[in-house]
Amino acid sequence: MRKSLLKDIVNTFISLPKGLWVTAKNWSFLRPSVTQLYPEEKPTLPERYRGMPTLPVDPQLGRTPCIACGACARMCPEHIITVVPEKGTDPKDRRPAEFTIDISRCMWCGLCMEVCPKKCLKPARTFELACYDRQGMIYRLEDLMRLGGTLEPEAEESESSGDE
Amino acid sequence: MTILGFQVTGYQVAFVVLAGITLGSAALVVLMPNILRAALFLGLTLLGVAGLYVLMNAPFLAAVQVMIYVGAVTTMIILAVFLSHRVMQVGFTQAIHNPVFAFAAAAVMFIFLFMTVANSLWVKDICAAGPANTDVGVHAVAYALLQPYVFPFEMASLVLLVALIGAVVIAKEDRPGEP
Amino acid sequence: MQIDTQQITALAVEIVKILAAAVVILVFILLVVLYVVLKLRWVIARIQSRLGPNRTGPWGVLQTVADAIKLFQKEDIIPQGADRWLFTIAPAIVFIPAYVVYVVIPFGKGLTVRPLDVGVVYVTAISSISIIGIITAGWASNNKWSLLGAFRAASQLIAFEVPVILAMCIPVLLSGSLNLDVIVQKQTGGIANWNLFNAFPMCQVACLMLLVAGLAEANTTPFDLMEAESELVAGFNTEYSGMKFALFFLAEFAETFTLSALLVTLFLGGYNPPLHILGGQLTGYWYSLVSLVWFLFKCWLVVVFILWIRSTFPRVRIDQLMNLSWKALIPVGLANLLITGAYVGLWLAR
Repeated sequence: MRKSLLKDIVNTFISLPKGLWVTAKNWSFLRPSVTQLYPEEKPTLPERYRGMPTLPVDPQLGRTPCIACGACARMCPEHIITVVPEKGTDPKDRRPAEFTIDISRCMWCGLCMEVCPKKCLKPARTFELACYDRQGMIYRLEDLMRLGGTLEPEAEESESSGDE
Repeated sequence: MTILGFQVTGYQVAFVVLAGITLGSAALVVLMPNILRAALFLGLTLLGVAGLYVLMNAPFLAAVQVMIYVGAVTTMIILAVFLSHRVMQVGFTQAIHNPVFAFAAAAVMFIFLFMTVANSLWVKDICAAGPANTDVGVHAVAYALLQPYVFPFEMASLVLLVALIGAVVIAKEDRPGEP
Repeated sequence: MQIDTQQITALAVEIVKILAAAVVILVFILLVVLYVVLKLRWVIARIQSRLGPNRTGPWGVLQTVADAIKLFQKEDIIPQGADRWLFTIAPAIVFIPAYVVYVVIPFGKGLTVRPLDVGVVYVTAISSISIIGIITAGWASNNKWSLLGAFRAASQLIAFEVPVILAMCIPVLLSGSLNLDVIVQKQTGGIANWNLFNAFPMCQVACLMLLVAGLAEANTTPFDLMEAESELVAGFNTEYSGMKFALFFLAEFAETFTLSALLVTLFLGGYNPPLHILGGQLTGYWYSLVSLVWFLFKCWLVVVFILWIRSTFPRVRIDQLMNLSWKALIPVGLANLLITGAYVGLWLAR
């Protein structure tokens, strides 16, 4: 009993400065802050970040390689994709006249990107989708191409197109 | 300055104000139906008394009065009120069952105290000595407590000791086996 | 009716002086509290590897100003079933003592509002009044959490007032005066004359005791049981909003600064510079200014230390708190007082 009391007293004067030292280490330059100053400092998105579906531009075609097959529109569980093929063109050179995604109901399931036969629906590398009204959430073909950037020839993509 | 023909000094104005606060809140302590408000007015009364001590050039006494009576005793009274089982009832009241008898008892007590104070030796001493020495250094306080007033001082601590032992005896539960 | 104009003028001058001092202290408290709250948030943020407020104004310095403006705009809610009168007066009972204490604090050479002869007793006496305000607030809110907070406040503040007084007795004994100005003047002449570095180990023990017990009196974090948010919602001020809550907040941080000012005054040499060369050779108004700067700098150091403690240690349990006061601090304080008394009476008086 006596011994443990003495131990407690000694421990008080050891453990309290110990705790202070731990926080002091954080306080000092030893651990810089992990805060990202968001609007000025954009977060670095992961390599395989899965944003909203977009239609990147193929630099060779100068447009999206989408053939307006409508597989994505049929697959979409929310039916938010509308694809209208351009009429009166060569059947081998089908392209979308309209391609609309109402992103307000999108749930980021990614099924559209999975079913796309041309692998031309790609996740956008952006997350700042806030806008002032609901009309702003409806993305048209040109918006989707602008957001998507350029289509990078990936290893598996070139393989699959080679198969076709 | 003269008001209504009387020569009035700032000292007298301050005295009247402080005495008014003390007596008024003392009356409210008795008359307030809500016991917690009454306790708070008791605190104000004691604060008024401390103000009177300041006016009498006794700042040390005033500070001790505030520390012990306002800070500790009033808190203890409020705590005791809290520990009663009707604490969450806002409207619990204090009852004055027999105002005439109570007033008579208080009056007798007042006359007794007033006579004691008026006839006591130290009042005459102070009146003869004039304004008190305002030095309230540690030495003066220590000298007062341990030389001329050592007996009352020790008596006060004896009273406190008795109260402490009494509290322990009352609070102690001698019921072995019961939780 | 004769009027002594000279007397009236003197009275008017005195009243204007008192009012000016009151306004200056109030502004000082507001600025100090705005800064201490901001510093608290910065320190806690850095310790948690964050940045803290940095948006409002340059480096976020206007954050607490914005918070204060927001508080002033809030609706003043008095809950149903509350004792309206007591509910309204309680924040004032808490704030006024925290404000009035500043009268005796020696901010610099000749910069005390009233250097009272009973300074030390005055400080403890006045700050003991605020307990009543906290209890009143807790009871008047008609809320069980508030009432539990008030219960804890009563037991905690009474328990820790004793060690505070016992700790403050040590420098009083050593300098033989209750006047805070005199205690500071006794520590003139460099860091070696400060109470903290004298009378080993009595003064060091007393300083530590004043720090620990003072933290409990100012209810800062390791001892903030009366407003323990994980247990009591917000304790005694649960039902308060707007200006009234602002007053509680102001009083709490004003008390934190009072504690650091007392530690500096009683143990860290007050407004004296640590070395004579760092301002000691100045005289007159220049010395007043330099001593004010030294006082505020030392207070800043102590406040940062308190904030460091605040952001490091978890809250103690109520029984640990009571044990700390009644079983550790008070016996040690009494023994310390006895030893110091013997030291002053038998050794120094030789």
